Amino acid sequence: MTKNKEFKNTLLGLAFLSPNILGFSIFTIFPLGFSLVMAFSNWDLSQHNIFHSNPIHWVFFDNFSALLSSNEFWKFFKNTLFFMLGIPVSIAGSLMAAILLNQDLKAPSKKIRNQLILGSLLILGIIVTIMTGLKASVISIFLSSIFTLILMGGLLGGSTLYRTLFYTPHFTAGVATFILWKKLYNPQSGPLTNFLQPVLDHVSIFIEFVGSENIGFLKYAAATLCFLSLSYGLKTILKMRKELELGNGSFAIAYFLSALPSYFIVKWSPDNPVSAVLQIILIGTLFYYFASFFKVSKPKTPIDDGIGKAIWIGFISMTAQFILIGLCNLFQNIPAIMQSPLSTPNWLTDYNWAKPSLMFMGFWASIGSNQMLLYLAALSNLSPELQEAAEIDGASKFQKFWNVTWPQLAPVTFFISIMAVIQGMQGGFEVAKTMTGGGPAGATTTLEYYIYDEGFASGRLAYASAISWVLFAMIFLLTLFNWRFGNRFIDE
Amino acid sequence: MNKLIIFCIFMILMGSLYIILTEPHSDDSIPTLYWVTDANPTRYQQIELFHDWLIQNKHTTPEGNAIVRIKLETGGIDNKKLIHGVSGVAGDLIDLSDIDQYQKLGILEDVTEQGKSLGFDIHQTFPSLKPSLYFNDKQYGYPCNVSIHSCWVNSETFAKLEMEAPPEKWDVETFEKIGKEFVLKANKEKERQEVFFMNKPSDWLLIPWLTTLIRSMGQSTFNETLTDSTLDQGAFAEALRLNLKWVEEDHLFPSSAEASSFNSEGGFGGSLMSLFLEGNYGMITTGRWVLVRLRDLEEPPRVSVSRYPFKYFENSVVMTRAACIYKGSKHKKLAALFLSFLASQTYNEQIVQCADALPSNPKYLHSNEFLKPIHFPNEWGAHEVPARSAQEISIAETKSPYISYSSIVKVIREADEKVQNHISEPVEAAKEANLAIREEIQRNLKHRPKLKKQFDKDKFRQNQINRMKENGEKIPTSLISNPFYKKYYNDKK
Amino acid sequence: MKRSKSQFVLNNLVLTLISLLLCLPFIWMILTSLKPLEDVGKAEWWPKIFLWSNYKTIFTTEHIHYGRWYFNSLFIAFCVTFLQVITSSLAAFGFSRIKWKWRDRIFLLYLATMMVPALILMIPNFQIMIEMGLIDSYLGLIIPASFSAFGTFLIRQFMMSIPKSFDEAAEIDGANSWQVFWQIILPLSRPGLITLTIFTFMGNYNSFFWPIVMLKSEHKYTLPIGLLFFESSQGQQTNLLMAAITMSVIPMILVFVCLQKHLVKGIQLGGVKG
Repeated sequence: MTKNKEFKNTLLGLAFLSPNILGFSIFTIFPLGFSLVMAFSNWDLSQHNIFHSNPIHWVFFDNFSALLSSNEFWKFFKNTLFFMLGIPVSIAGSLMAAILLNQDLKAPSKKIRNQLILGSLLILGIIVTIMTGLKASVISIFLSSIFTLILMGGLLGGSTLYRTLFYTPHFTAGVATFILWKKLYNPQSGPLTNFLQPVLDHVSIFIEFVGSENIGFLKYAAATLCFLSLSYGLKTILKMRKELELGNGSFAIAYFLSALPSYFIVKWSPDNPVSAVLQIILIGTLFYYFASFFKVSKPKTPIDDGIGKAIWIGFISMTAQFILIGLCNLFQNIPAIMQSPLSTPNWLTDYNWAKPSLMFMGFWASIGSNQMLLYLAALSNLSPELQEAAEIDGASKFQKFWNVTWPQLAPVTFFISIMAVIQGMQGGFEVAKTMTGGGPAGATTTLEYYIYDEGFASGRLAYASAISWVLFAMIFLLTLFNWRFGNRFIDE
Repeated sequence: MNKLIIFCIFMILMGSLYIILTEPHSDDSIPTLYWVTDANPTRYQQIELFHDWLIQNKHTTPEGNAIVRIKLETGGIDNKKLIHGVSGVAGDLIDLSDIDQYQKLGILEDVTEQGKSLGFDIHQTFPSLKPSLYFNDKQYGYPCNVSIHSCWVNSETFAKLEMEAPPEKWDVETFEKIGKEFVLKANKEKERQEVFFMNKPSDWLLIPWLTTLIRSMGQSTFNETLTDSTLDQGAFAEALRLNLKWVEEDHLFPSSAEASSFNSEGGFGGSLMSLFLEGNYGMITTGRWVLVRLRDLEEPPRVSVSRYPFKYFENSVVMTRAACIYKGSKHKKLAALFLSFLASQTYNEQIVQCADALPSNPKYLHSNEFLKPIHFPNEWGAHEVPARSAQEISIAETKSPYISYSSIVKVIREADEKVQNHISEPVEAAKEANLAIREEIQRNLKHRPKLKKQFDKDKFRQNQINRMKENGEKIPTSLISNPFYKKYYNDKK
Repeated sequence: MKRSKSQFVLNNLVLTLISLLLCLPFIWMILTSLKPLEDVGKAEWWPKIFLWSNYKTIFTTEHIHYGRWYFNSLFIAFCVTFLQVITSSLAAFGFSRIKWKWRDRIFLLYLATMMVPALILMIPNFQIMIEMGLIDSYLGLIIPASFSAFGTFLIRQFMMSIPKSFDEAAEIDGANSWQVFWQIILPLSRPGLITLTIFTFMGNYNSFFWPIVMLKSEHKYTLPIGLLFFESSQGQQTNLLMAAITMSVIPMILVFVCLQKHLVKGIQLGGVKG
């Protein structure tokens, strides 16, 4: 290419860019540069404004060191990470939804379809009659009619109706739905409380009937299951390492994830013989697999082979263990809890419930999100040959998914996780601002909310800028990390 | 593609046209003031009253129109007071409950002189509010309303249990004793506790409640010169402990779980008010605005008022939402008229009538409309209590120039939440709170040389005071900046 | 492949059940919006009387300019979408179909800005708005939102996937760059444009913090601020609040139902390649 042509092209490119780049420089680049520079100063609205003109001076890294040594920052960082634990769950939910939607949903023939529609109408008719006879509430009849309607829509139109309904919560997410959920979570009169309280009342009666001490014994079952899921997870990854499906690095990650709950068990558990025994068993298991990892022959494989699977196995094992520990703890405390009748929590204003409540809402809004659409697209592009080959080999459904479908979905999963991580790191302001105000006791304050709090509520702009740039650095590093491993992950 | 773009441009033009046509055309001869306040329907009524008042008092244009008009600016104000204020674009009148915080930014207009000439100086309101309205000996605002928090008692609930309504003043022991008796009697023969002595003071009600308790033990949130937090000196921990005890041991207040089990029973969302009316709460902690709802009822119950309980020093926290004039306003003189309207009979009578807090001007506390409203004999006898509290034992909130009030509120609330959720023991929580405030003060001082200078001066004063205390000398009021200690040392001698 | 009938029925049943569960909040919202105030806190979802007048009330309540807020939201979202799609597609063309020296570096800069929390941009932007005298004006909401890195990124991905041969053929026919852009590339990136249209429209329809900071007059509020205002001034009246929320959600659902086919295609094309 000649110099002249290149110059012409540059001009041309810039000409096309000019409207965008003009606005972009004014409203993004300039403010960004400004905030970066200001992060090194003592810029504070209460000292430097149009009525007060104290000189601004440089404090260099003071803001950053103050930030990194403040408890608040780390607390809110942990909150942000806690909220991000919802990401794998929502990805899994989206994947499940996509798989379901990707099934053949249209009736095989017109005849069968008509039969089904008639059948469902008939069943609805019978149900409504019986319910009316039983004097069931109008709402249950209404809901069963809606159920039938959706079903018929699905039978007639295939996945479109389901997809629309799945996607609606994500699509409408905003101040309106946040206020809606605030009302749903109302501890006095919200429908969630109204629905759960009778259930809890029955549970109370049931527990009293069985005797809370007897229920308490279930904690041994939970502890055993916890041990089993740990050793099963470790056994699986060891086997996979032997069969060269995992690299050393991937093995380490999966091992770390599975072992994490044990650390918390040791840290949290009360001093009693049962938990002591459990601790010893868990640590013993960990050591056993750690030792056997060194004993098995380890042919050379790339360090991060199979990292996607490793993360999944590790995560599943970790989640299962955490849930079982929680149950164990619950059963342990059942006699104490049963002192007063069970009741629903103050969802959004209870320190321990606020985060899960918001995460549950997030899950509702993210099952049918863009993630689901991306998975749908990827699923429809899967190569049918591989699927058929697997079927001929007589693979079970799960094996087919794990060994054939999942690896082919890797690029999409990778893309989705990067986007979700970026969004998760810098999210949480709108929800917290409209629903909880960052409380109770800072339980729902994420880093983004912290920026708002420092910048707009206290006016310490330099400090708020410093938080933003630290956050940027973390997101950048995470993305790099994802990129490094993700590329390998795609090549699998 | 071309058609689509033309269509879009057409739509945008039509929209713009609509906007231009519907733009409320502004008559430039009459200036408009923006009043930054909360989204309360009575504000519109007050604007109309102001308009009438202007005409009555001959503040008119040659044509006989009111000289100025007011518009409300309400949405999401907390987020923008600061950023608008420092950028020169805030409303002309700003309602603030923390003047010192905003005057630190230098965004408010000094109204000391105008207050004297237009009749809205400190003598036209409660003297105890001075710390809330003044900053460095200059007045910056006049109250829109004044609030004293008390326990509002549903006398009928007590009568049903054959108990007398609680006395006007009570110490913590009496409070506990009556409370226990009430809870015991009311929940007799009930499977689970359904009736509580009082709602648990939470959210923004928590601050006056805890402050009153702490002060009643002769301590404050800050030391005499406001240079250091004194939350770790025992009173705060004790107040937190009492709060927990009254929930878990004495069951005077519902726990959060119990509060939420009041689920579907009441109308109006099972809210505080209907629980109060139905007798689930013997009394509720609130301000005078509780009457706004009560007066809507066909048969409002008989009510009486008791002060917050105290340990040994009786006191009451007085708070205010004050209207201030923005320094960047183009119509400061006209805005001052509004402040003088707030001190006028017209406005105060409206406050008395609509029962929204105490009138700003104590002159109107003695009228029959206030003490014995004709249509509401059920309230007779109740109004004297907050009026007396405001005039006799009230003290403004303790704020410090070295830390924002909102941070203090946040720290105190967190401490209570920690204790209630069993995350920390009271003593521990108090220590943590103390430390959090100290750290924040240090952080604020670090990059503000001017503030540091003032701090060092105050610190010197504090050392002086400490020495005097050791020697048992009397501490002159001039040395003290904390409004609590001013009154406390004065009353003690 | 064999298809078993029971499997197919089961799939449909499961999907219907999940759909119903996901819609429950909306069903509650609509039913509550029709209740009289006394029944709002009751456990029974079904209204005893259907109070359709609630919907009239929200449009006629004094000081709640609901109709106007509705118009504002739609108008602002419309303008922003229009401008953003134009500027983004122009820029995307510059980033994808023309080769020039600094192209990829500048594009990388665009991408990197998406990683910085947008909240921190607001204060400098607010000062810029003051300088430009755009406080409390529609333009102040429209202009800053009209330039986006995300939109440019999205459309660029589409344009990258169009084979080079298209423009080469056009250039041989003597078309200049503008004609290539306008007549060939833009029509081919239609799914991308529609995707961006929907995202931008929704994003601005829901936009919340910037309007709060920018607007002063009640009649200029957009729906999200209006809803917050509503909640703080009449939040006790849950039935009216729910009616207001229902009304504000309806346009979004309509937009989605009308454009969903394109959206699904757009996201799938753009995302997988991105």
